[in-house]
Amino acid sequence: MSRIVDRVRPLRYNQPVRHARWTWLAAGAALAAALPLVAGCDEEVVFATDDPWRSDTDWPGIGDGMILVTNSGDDTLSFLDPVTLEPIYRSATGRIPAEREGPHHGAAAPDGRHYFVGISNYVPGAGSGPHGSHGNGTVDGYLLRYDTADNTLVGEVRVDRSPGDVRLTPDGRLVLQSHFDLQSIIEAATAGEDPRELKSPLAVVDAETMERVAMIPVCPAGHGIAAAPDGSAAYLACWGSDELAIVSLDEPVTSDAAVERIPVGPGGGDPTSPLFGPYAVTVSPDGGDVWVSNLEGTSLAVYDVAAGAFDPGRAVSTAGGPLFASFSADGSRLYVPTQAPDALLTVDPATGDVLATLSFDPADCRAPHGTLLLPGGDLALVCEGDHIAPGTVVRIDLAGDAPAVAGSFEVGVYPDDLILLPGAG
Amino acid sequence: MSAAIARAAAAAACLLAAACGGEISGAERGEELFSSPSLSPSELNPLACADCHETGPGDGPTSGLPGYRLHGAAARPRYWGGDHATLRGATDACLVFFMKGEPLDPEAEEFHALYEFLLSLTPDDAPGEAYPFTVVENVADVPRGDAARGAEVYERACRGCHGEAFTGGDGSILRTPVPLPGVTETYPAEFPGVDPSLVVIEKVRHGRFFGIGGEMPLFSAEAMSDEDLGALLSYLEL
Repeated sequence: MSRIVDRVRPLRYNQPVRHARWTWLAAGAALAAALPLVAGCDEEVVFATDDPWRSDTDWPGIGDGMILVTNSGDDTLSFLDPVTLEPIYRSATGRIPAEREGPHHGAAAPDGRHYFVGISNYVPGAGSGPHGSHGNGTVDGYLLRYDTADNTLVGEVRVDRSPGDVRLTPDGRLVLQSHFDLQSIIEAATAGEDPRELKSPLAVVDAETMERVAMIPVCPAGHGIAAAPDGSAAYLACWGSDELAIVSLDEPVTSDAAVERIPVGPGGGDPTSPLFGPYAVTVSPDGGDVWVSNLEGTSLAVYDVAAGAFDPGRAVSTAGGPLFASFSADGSRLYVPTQAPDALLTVDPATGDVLATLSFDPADCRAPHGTLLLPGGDLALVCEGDHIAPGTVVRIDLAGDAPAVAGSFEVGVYPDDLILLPGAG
Repeated sequence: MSAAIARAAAAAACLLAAACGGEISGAERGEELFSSPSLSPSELNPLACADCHETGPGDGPTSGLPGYRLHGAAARPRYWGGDHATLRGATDACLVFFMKGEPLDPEAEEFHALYEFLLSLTPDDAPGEAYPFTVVENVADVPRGDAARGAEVYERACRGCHGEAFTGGDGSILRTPVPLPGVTETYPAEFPGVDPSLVVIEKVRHGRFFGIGGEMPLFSAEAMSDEDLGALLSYLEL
């Protein structure tokens, strides 16, 4: 038992107290008159506990690592076993109780001590009333920082509206967050302005202090981000301008950092109706290639970093819209999820040949969105579902002749990203 | 000074003298803080925890206030319908969103005291179960109900902040009075084309959230049923 001596603070005691000790208040004037008589009087507060606000949390800790899934439709995070993908834990996320805030994508610190979640404040169909539907991208978003020791929110920073992808630089020092701001395109077009002039920013945030280091104007409605393995640049899929943007991360990173924009193909460039709609980017393990997933154009384009140009010889035409792909550890295979039809393509990145197509039973996976190579060698695939019922995460066995579904597990509503939380040691 | 005040002053002095050098438990200090707006450092904050929360046992999460009853609160595994996993997180939410405060400093004595007060409200056999907290996300009009019942709802849920119905007087704690239904007279200009009663429903269901603003807490479906809300609207002639 601790004993803490606390001085009586007349100001605090002169402030109104309601519901309790009304009798004391009734003599408020008398009390005020009496206080000077006992000025300097010490009152000892005796505490019965030494560890206030300790909670018997059911958070299991991340142990040797977990897979985190952002469920954008119900404001939750799912935590999964990193080998089997079986769900272990589910927690709410967001800054505001009650409101649907649309957690959109995440990233993990390399040491596993923190993870980051983007808050898009855009959840289709959430909320209503005289102020209009809540969060259709007209309010600013946030980047949240959580401590994996107790799974608590420990930091936040406001960014622009409709934040999109979230990724860290390889050294874990900076968090990169794009802005898939379609609303500005609509507003510009409606106002008779040229939406091609819009430059949604790449937010660069200090992962430790959560301060915005820079807001780098890039392109209309940028989305998927990938950092070069050496951390020198960030690649950004520019949905609205049909381009790949290369953003310099040379130190010191500032808001006027150099940005190079390269069209992913001929034509296009109208943000109101993109021809290719680049949505995601994937960098090869050696950093030599950047693969761009063209969601609207149903194709893959590959940018040769050394040549400084796209390589049309390895471009891939896909039946469905490609999203967030992953390389095998040795870089010899690229696994690409596509929607409509829902499938997983196995691509030879050296040639652009599609080696295998795994089609999904909707019961296992509807609307595949993102992929992640698991520590055990399998591939994880997050599937949006129908945005009403829970989506799924699917474990894909890569050991056989062709990828095969090895398990499917329910997560939250409209899951849209999955990341590895490394064990915190 | 009247004789009554003189007697009260003497009694207060005696009590203070007796307390001088004496002891007070953390729970007792916490109860004082619980009942005072001074828990928030903001001088603009009019609200105390006690304005929104009951402390005694009872059926269900609340008997009409927007905040859930705190009897047994320390034993619950989750709060705010799962949005917060800890009592500290739930308390921080109240401080930040409704009391113009900051997240609590767990090292501060006053919050240690508040914790011990909440702990004192939790008997050993308190069920470790979370209350449901259903946010009515999509607001719609509700059938009107019995006005007499609505008057009871008003007394329990609204009067503490809004004062006496129709006049706003007699007990409003808000610094800027928001009389009901008087405030709705401004709604046609603020929300053109929207029935003022729908604005009231929006405020009740979403409080300060969903871009509404202010500090009003929201009423979950468990805290105020649509039936009670309809009765309230009838009473307020909305």
